[in-house]
Formats: sequence, structure tokens, C-alpha cells
Amino acid sequence: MKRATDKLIALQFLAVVLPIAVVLLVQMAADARRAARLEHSRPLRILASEARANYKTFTNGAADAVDTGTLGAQSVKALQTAAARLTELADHGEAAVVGDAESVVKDLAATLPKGATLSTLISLRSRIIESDTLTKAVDDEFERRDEFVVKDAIASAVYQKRAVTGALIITAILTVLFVLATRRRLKARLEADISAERERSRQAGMAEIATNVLHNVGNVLNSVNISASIVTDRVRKPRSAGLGKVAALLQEQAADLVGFVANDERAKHLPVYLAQLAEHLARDQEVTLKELDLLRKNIDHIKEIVSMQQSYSKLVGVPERLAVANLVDDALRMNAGSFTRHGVNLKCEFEDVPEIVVEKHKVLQILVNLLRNARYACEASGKPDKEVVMRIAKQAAGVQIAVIDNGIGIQPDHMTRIFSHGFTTKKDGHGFGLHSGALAARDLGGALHVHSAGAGQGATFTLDLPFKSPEAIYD
Amino acid sequence: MQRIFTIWMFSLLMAGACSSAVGDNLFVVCHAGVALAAADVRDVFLGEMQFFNTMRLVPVDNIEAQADFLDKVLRMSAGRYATTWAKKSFRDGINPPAALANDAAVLEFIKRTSGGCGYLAIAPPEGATVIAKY
Repeated sequence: MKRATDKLIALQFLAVVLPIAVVLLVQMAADARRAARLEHSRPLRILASEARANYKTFTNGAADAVDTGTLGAQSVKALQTAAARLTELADHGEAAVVGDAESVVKDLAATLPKGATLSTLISLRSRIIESDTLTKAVDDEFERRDEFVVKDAIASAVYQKRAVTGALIITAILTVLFVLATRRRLKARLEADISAERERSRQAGMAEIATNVLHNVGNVLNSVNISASIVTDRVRKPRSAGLGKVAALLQEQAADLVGFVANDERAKHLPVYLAQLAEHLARDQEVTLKELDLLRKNIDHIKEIVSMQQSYSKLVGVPERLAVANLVDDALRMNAGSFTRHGVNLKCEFEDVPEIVVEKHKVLQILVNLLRNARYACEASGKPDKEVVMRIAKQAAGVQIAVIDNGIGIQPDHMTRIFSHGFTTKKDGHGFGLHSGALAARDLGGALHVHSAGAGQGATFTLDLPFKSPEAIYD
Repeated sequence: MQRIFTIWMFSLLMAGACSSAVGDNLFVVCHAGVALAAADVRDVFLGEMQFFNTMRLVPVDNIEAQADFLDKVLRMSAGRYATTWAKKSFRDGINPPAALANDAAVLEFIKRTSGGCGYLAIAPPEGATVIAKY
């Protein structure tokens, strides 16, 4: 990944630098070529220029001779210098450019070795004019060469400007292409990452839901087991066995049933026995029915927990108008056996509060958890006077349900983490109950709070619920 | 050589003297397409104006009419004309106008030479480009 990114950056760098570097190198080579040409042509240009200037000095002298009558020595010397410069040019390999100029000027200089009269100059006028034309042509040629170099330099500068512009355009295009390619690649990678993260989140969510279901079902299953045990005990020890004995005795005495009732001592106890038996059977039936009813409620709660977890994915809840005391009673009944077995005294302090509109099983889930934790805290404290107080109080905007225990309490450094997922102080705990309880309370538009004076000082969990849960507001 | 110059000067003077007797009119004519102004004539014959647009001008002298021309147009003597051209030819490397014998030669030259200009002592034929009449 890093290597691929480095490669991409290197390619982008090359895309930017290479075109410009190529253009600059080409231009440097062209500049060097021009400099070499100028270096070669400059002295030749100077020779040609000197030849021309000296020849003009001579012709000016000739023109002056029209007035003075004779050609001055300085003019003659200038003519000779012009001839010498042309010879130098020819010797520098420029004979083709110099052409006839050298010989014509040289001949003219030979004809006028020391000076001349006007008539001599007049007679040589055509040669003087011819030489003038030739020296001018030589000077013009070298000037043209310099001009060509200058024009070439200008053209090169123009070309350089175009080339650099082209290089910049190419660079810009390549950069845009690279940026688009990088964006596309990063986008694809990001989408893959998001997809993977989404899958991980989905799996985590599924695991959390499964944990939640197991946790809450596990809580209720304790009560289910107790109810099932009570019913099983009643069935295993049937009081109807005595009734069978009575029936067998009466069958034995069927031949003289009147005599048996009148004279037999056993018959005298039968009415009392049957009355007591009927009373016991009626009480057993009542207990069994009560336990079966509780069992049915617990199974309903399990069913609701499962369906509620299923509905989480749809974010759908079913708010109901409920009396808070009934709701709390249901939660207490689900834990009643457990409290009794562990010797925890349960105290209820219920204020009259208005009914609330809420998802019943979410509240039950929270309360069952809180009661179970309170029972555990009391049991773990080892105190003889274990007590849990269940309190209902009216608040300005809703109802507060408090579960107060005098158990092991909560250490101050645990207070901030107590609702975190995975945090637990129980040996066999999962750190899920309070976390899911806090989330459920928030879903209901309420909040779950905790207070403890410290270790061994007991704890108070308060569930604040609004009169109407958020889902119900839109109903 | 001095003798040649003297002869050249003398011939110019003599030509001027002969031509003055030919007539009173002087016509400056040019090759077709050379639309010079009358004011340009002096510069053309003294080498100051060598081109009309891109066309090189080729002035020629008319020996028969030169004296009249120098007197009426250039307003200078033959000697001054000769020295002016001597200086001009040395300084600028250009030749003085060729001297043709008479009107007919001048006319013929102008007819066949692009940029040719000259002067005549006679009226030019129909269709000739007359620049000025003196």
C-alpha cells in the first residue's frame, strides 16, 4: 500500500519534471550552439565591418578630392587596410563570402599606392563603385549572419515559451489524470474499507443482540426454573394417594357399608380426613395455578425479549399505557423466589403516580436486571439484614423508579465505567446487563443513574422515565 | 586622367550649349508606372531619390537638352552638376545618369527600361508618362 503510494508520487513527480527538463535541456543545447556560432562569427563580422568602414573612409576621401583635387594619404591607407581585412577574411575560410571583393579592392589599392589626383579617381570611378558594392555586400553578409543568429535566438525563445507552455499543459493534464486515478483508487479502497467495517459492525451488532437475548432470557429462566421446581414438587408428592386408601377401604366394606360406618373406628376419622384432604388439594391447586401463571408470564416475557430483540433491527417498539406499580410488581414477582431463597428482605415504597406510556418489556428488562444485581450485591455483602427497597416517585416530567440495596456498594473508580460494555465485578458476569439497561432507558426517552457512597455502603439505581416515551409521542 | 575629366566636363558644357538652341519646352518623362511628382525630379537627377515604391529609378541625361534641363530644373551649372555627381558616386557608390545623345535615344531607353526617367526637348509621343513640363 505504502509502496504503491510512493510509486504513484514518484510517477507524478516524473510527470511534472520530465517534460520541463527535456525542454530545458533542448534549449540549453540550442543556446550552446548559438553561442558557438556567435563566437565564430563575431571576429569575422568585426573584420568585415572594419573592411567596410575603411573602404568608406577611402570613398569619403575620394569625394573630398573633388574639392581638394587630390586623394589624401589617410584615405589611401584606409583603402589598403580594407584590402588587408578582406584578405584576412578570405584566410579565415570565408573566401566564398568575400568573393571578388578582395581582388578588386587589392587591385585598387595597388593602383593608388601613395595617393591620386581627382582625374585619376574619376577614371577609376567604376572600379571604386564596384568595390564599394562588393565591400558592402561582404559586410551585409556577415551582418545578415549575426541577424540570423539573433533571429534564431528570438525564434528559439518563442519556441521555448511554446514548449514550456506545452510542457506545463502536458504536466497539468498528467497531474489531473494522476489525481483522478488516485482519487478513484482511494475511493475504491475506502468503499472496500467501509464495506468491511459495515460487515464487522453488523456482526458485532448481531453478537450484541444475541448476548442481550441470552442475558435477559437467562435472567427470566431463573424464575422459570423456580416455578417449574415448585410445580414439580407438588406433582411428585400427590396428596391424592390418601384418597386412594379411603377408596380401597370403602370397597373392602362394600358388603356392609352401613355397619362399617356405624361400628368401625376408622370410619369415624374419614369425614375429618376427607375435609382436610380437600382443603390441601385446594391449596395445592391454588399454588400450582399461581406458579403456572407466573411460569406463563415468564415465558411470555422470554417471548417478548426475543421479539423485542428482533424488533431492534426494525427500530419498532410497541408502547402501552401502564400503571407503574403493576410494572414494578411484575418485575418483583419474577425475582421473588430468588429474594426469598437468599434471605433478602424486599420493601416497597410506592407513591401514587400517573400511568405512563412505555414499552413494557424494555422496562421489565431493566428492572429485572437491577433487582438481580441488587440481590447479588446484598448476597455478596454477607450482611444479616439484607434489604432491597423498591421505590416509585413522581417527577416533574415523569416517574422515577429506584432500586436501593444495602449490599457491597460501588467503588468510586468504578462509577464512571459501570455502564460501559464489558465492565463487571461479578465472577460470572459479562458486563452486559447495566450497559443494555442504560441503552434501553435512553431508547425510552429516560435515563439510568447510579449512586453509591462507596464500597460497603450499598447502591441506588434510579430509572427515570417520561410520561410518554419518544415512540409514543408520534402515536 | 585629368585630361579625361576635362574632356568629360567640356562635353557636358558643349552639350548644354547645343541643346539650348533646340526649343523652349522641356518635358520630363518616365517609364510607364513611374508616377513621380514634379517636385521629385530634382532629387531623382541628383541621386537623392533612387526608388519609386520598390522600383529602382534609372535617370538618364539627354546631351542635346541637358543645358536647358540644368538651367530650368536643377538650376545649376554643368560643372556643379558634374562635381555633385562625382562626390555622390564616391560617397554613396552610385553611378551618375548615363548621358544619351538625343531625344530619340532617351525615348527609346525610357520605353524599354523599367524605372527609366529622362527629359526631352520635344513633345513626347501619345501615351508617354509625362512627369513635368518646363
